[in-house]
Amino acid sequence: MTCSAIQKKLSVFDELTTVELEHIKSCPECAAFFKDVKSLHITRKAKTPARIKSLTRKASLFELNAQPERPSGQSFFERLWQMPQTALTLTGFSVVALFITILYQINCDSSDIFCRISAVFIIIILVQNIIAALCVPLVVQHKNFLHYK
Amino acid sequence: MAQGAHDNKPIDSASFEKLFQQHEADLWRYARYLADSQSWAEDIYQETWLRVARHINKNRVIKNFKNFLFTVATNIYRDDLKKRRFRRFFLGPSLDDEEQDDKIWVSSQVNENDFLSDALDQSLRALSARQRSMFCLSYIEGFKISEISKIMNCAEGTVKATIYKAVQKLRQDLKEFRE
Repeated sequence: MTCSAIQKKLSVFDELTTVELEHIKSCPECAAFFKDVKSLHITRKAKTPARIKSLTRKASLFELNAQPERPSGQSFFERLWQMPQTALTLTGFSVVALFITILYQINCDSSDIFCRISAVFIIIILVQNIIAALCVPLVVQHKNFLHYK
Repeated sequence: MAQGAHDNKPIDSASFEKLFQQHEADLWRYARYLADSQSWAEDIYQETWLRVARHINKNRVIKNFKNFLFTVATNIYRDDLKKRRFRRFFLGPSLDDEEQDDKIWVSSQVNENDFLSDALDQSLRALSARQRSMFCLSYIEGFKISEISKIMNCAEGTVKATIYKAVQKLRQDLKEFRE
């Protein structure tokens, strides 16, 4: 019988056999472990701050009694729009669209109207990326500032 | 209405109020042990109760209310932890991370001269999030290993090993207090 097996049992309050209990009495290391485990067992009362308790209770009761939302077309699209999967799918589509446009731009006849439209599309995306590259660090800095405030 | 607790009765406002009064202090204590700051603990506490109320409102079944409550709190804590790590990585430490003055809150409420309690609280903070939550569930909230494994969504063996490692770490940290 190893001490570590008994100590593992002691730490998770597993039931001990008579032999193991006898071992704890005779082994000083296991006895010390047993004592420590007992002293680590904490039963303390904690008092929730009154303001938080009262606010939470009211808000929870409000949520409990709130009328469940009736599914409507608008709420469906709202939920769909907020889903992370939708954002990922749209990103995927936009990347594919960009690649197709670039490929089309390379191969098309410059006098073709679609060729010009696709060129404008690529320019818009380029400008948008430049703006994002310039603004995102500023926005992040600003948000960081707000977070510290 | 949702079925609640052990008696399988529907949870209405009155019974929810009763369950709230019964478990809110335990949940607050758990949240305070998990969170590094009071404001974070308040977030966990409030969000847990709101999610539970929404869950009941949707007529979903709750077999064991206390287990469910602590599962929700643990999940909220895990999600928060991920968000905070992500935010810290990109934006640096925030005010919440620097709010350390109320770290040893429990001991100061119980007994100001209890150095062992202070040291225990600080050692608990030094444990990993997983070890801390499992240790608190077992040693402070009195959950069984099988219940903790359900709350933490892992095998019982993992719970046992994690708690054992947490106890060993705490013993190591607190060895100077041993007689």
